[in-house]
Amino acid sequence: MTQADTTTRTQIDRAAVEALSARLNEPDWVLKRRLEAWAAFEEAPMPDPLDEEWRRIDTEKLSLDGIAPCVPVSADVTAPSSLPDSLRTVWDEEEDLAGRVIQLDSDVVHTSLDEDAAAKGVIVTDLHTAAAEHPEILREKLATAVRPQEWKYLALQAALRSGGCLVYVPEGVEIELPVKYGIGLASAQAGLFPHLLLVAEANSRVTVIQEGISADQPGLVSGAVEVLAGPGANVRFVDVQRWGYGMQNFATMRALLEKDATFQSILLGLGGSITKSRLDVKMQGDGSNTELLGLFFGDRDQQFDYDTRQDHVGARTESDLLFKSVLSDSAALTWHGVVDVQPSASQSAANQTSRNLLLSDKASAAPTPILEISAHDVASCSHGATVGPVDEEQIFYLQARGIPADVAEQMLVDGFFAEVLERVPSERMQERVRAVLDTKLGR
Amino acid sequence: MTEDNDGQPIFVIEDLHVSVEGKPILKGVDLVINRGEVHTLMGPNGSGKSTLANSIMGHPRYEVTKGRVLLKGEDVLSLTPDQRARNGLFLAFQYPMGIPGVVMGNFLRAAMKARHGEDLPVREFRKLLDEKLDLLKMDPSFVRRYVNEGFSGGEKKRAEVLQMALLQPELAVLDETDSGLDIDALRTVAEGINALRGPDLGVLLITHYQRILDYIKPDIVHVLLDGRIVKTGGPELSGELEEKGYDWIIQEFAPANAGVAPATAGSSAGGGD
Repeated sequence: MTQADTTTRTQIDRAAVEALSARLNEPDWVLKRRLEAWAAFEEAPMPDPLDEEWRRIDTEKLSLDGIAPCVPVSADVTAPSSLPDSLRTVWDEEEDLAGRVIQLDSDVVHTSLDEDAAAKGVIVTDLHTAAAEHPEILREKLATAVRPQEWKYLALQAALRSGGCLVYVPEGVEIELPVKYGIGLASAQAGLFPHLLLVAEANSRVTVIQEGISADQPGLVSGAVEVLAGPGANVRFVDVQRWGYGMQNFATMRALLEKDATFQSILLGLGGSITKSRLDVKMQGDGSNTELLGLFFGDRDQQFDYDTRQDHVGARTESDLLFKSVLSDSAALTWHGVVDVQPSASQSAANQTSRNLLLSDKASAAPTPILEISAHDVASCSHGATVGPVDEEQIFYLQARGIPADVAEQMLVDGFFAEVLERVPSERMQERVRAVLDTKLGR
Repeated sequence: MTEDNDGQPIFVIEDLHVSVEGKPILKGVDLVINRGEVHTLMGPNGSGKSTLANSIMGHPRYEVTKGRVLLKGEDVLSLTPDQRARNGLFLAFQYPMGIPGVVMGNFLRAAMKARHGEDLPVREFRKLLDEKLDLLKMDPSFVRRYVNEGFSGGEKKRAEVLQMALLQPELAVLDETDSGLDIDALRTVAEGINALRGPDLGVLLITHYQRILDYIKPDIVHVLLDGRIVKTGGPELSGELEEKGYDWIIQEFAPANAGVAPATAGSSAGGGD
């Protein structure tokens, strides 16, 4: 059987791509795209530590050896209770949601959508079902914001993509509650290649929360997120990254905004041993705007490397980035953020702020904001970055009110998180993230 | 001087020497405050007033090289700032720190719990808080804001007095709580402080200006100059300072420093801000 065939694979190669496509009974055009992506992956060199893009992380820890593409889960998963304990929160029945797509290893095991939204034409499903039932959407939209050829790990993702999630919101439809794409990885030494395609047609409104989680184990994830926001659309995207310690994590997230579209993203980066994450927003339409929030907590020897781009193409576009990190032990975070204001982007405004709190002498943060401005009449452009320990004067102020130094530090760290965390549009998710933070802080 | 029931002053400073980054600022300060008394410490800019306030509270940047600071007979210099606060010391900051992300209400509860050793039931806390907000003419929405973040000068100073009202210290040091306030805010803050006066509380009111003394009548006035208390007197001393400025004191006690003392000390002492 094909399943036996894939389970015995211990290596990522061209045969693995063909086997996956065969198992999924994909049409030829899909297999063709996968093989093109595979060729692009093979052509691109492995990360070179001398390369500007890769010099900020420890490339020796990047390896595909012994990683096999993950396979269908053997057990029937029909309810959260059949998930392994460590992955349980990825499928949280208590969470107030408009819809959910739950992926375990390579496959989506559960899909739901509230009837009201379905009646309005909203589509929430996995990408294989989408290819069969809504080929016109996939053919036109999939891999338009992200191109396999642009990056080695994205080519790998495009070749081996499985499961995946499509959220399609028709023109003028507003969904109040979030849609969740939960991804759990149960297998060790496995490669996981999820893909979220979010299409928000004109004047629609939607929030999507993506949460990825695994136990502490070696493995590799390369995910793609594409957001296509039509004219006047309002899209909010939350990414909760809780891969286990030991995982290599690569992500490419890109949003294309048409006229007057609004896009807000909140990245919560907590897990993985090495994270290389790319977030780009292209404000093509006049008057489109974006807010990019990030909250990262590294401990042990976790490494986080974020590349962001705020591309201003349309006139009167606005972008604002706020990334906050807390780093303990020997964790390291780098952020390389480009604001590109093109000549057509007159009267645009951009801001970048990076705040990094170091809780140990060995922790480090290296924020690099970069402004590239070629428009002549920019409304405003600003950036700022700070790196340092908890403010001694703030500690003293709290101590002067009787609060012991260790409690004071906790309050300051919590306060530091609050600014971003309070804006996550799900209280249960906020609680979960707080619990992870508490564990990392040894509370 | 009057003494409390135990026959012991609430607060004693003995021969206090303090350096900042190796530079001596306080050069032997002596002070005795009894329960129920309000002492005013005046002096020109740079005389060491804020250094004294911060040293009393235990700011890590201020190094005590000699002397003792006794609260209820116990030397507090070996205690951490939070232990001092829990023992009944309070410092109203000249420049209260903004703390983004920490909500005022939660901060006040944590401070109350630390000072009084137990968590007050929410309803009781709320009632007490409303009472004190009312006293200081503060809007209840204040409780939901981040600590001192985006506060006006007047709001910050009111917030300091509010904390003092909730924490009920036994010795309160008010470091230029009057600076940066317009006349209405000054009156409100002064009324708040007056409401907290009582037989158990000692107050050290540090000020550059005389005008807050129109509202708060001190029992004793000290003049700090070049790290030493050079003159101590009754309320009439502050009147004299208003009239004549600091120049005559500088001439009398530190003529060598007369050249470096701010030339405006005389006029600003009487003129407010």
